[in-house]
Amino acid sequence: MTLKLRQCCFSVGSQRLLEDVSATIPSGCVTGILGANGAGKTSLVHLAAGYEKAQSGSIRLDAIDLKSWSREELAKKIAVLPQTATLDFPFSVEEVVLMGRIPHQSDEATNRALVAKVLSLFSLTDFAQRPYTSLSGGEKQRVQICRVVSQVIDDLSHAHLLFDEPIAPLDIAHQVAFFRLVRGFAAQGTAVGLVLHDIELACQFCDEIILMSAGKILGAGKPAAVITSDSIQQAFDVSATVTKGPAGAIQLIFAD
Amino acid sequence: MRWLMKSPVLLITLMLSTALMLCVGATEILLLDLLTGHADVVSQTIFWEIRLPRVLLSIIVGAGVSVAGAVIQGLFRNPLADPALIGVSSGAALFAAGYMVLDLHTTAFGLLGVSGSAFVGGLLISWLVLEIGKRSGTVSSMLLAGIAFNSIAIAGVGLFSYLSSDLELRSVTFWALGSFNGADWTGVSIALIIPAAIVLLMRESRNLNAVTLGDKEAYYLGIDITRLRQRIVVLTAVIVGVGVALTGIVAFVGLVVPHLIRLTSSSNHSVVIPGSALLGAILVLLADGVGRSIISPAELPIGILTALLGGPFFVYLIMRQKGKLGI
Repeated sequence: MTLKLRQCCFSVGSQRLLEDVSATIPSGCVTGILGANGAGKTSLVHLAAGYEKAQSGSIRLDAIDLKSWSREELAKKIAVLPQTATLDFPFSVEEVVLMGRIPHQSDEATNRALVAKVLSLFSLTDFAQRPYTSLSGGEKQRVQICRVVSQVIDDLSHAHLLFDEPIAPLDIAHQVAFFRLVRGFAAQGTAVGLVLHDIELACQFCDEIILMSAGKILGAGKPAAVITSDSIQQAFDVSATVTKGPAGAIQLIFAD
Repeated sequence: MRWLMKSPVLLITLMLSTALMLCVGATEILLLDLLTGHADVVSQTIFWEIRLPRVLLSIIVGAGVSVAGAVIQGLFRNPLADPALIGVSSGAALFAAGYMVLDLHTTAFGLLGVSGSAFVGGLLISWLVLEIGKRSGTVSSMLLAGIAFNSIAIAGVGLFSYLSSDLELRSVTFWALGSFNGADWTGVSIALIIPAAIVLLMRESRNLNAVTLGDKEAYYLGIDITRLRQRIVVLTAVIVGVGVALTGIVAFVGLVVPHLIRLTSSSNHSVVIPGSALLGAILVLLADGVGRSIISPAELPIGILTALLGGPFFVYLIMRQKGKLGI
């Protein structure tokens, strides 16, 4: 279950957002998508999941053109957490997570059991009956992550999970918990794509990195190969020394 | 419907309210007398020709405006949206008032009648709001456009009031304030399209739940948001257009009732839609009963009552449970 973009170009009006982009989000892997604001990370996610249409190039899911998939079938294979999720109605947490089961025809008892499983994975069982609107920003984000995971929880080995900046509202403990969980999903065969801003965390928890700049792919591959002082300078226009920490983790030291 | 089986309180309350309202009015009628054949001819005529159609129409229209409010709030992802707020109700009232004051029955519009004109007005505003939404791509622009259309339509109704004769003014006021005074069996048979539309809207519950998350989220859950929006707006226009055509604008019910259901039961549309239908029917039925009894034999327009009762109660709810309402 691999999602492949080949030579994709995408524009909105006269503004070119993606230029000749080729990228792969493979199964069994956590792929981090990094880049400065406006680099095209979100556009890449929307294109890969079929929400936006490329003006040229091709996107294939399991070697089949994305256009050949019906929207309903696609929703069973690819689950996406967009960057800003707003919900102004006091649904209970369980009801919000149950919405992830909308693409499936499974019965309510099955759906509730799957939702209970996802809520327990993210330590939200005690929140199940609380109104979503009464939660903190970080708690809401965890609920939204649960909703997206519940969409594919019954077939993780054939699923794609794409998260656009999932950890921004989370504290460090929940960030680490999130990474451990998605790594667990990848171990079961899920293709995981994460748009991230924290380069060090991305290098520690992602198997592959796609580094973007101005709508183009600057580099893709293993974190140590992609994240270098030069690539950081090019992508973010900041000077940083990239070093390896005691446990081999990549660290960035920025110049004064 | 499973929720209705679990929580039959509203259903039982509606049945009791219906029985009560069939008895109450300028002439008191005992159901027992009617059932045992002891009621006099006048009471029987009042019951079958006036009271029963009026009660049925208030139930149907009350259910309709409440469901319309619930689904428009879901579609616009805004707890403060309402067909009256986005101009659908006032658009219908504008066309009805225009038909009467401009004497359009002698033109091609004559085929439509007052009711048909009101329906066209509601549908036209819905279509305009939908088109603006399609072009701008955002829900907030649809909502703001609706508010602008509402102001224009209200100004138009005001203009027709200014231009109207004394007799016409009374009819125009009817559209603006709402009344079940003219209820008859023809009106009830036309209004049956409202329950049909409610049933179709109930089938959209899961989709409406998804839409409250956002357009992108709904897309990623496999929903064709454009087609869904078209279906919801047309069905809402049918409910509001027919409702306003038959009874004028019944204010505030569509805004308050869905909130009451969300606060007391759930935000899930498979609960909010049937719950709003039942509670809206009960409230409008009781409000009409009060309206026709309080200054009997004269009547207080129902729109005045629903606004007077619903407005302060809504403010109270906002102050008390701000976090839960999500506004």
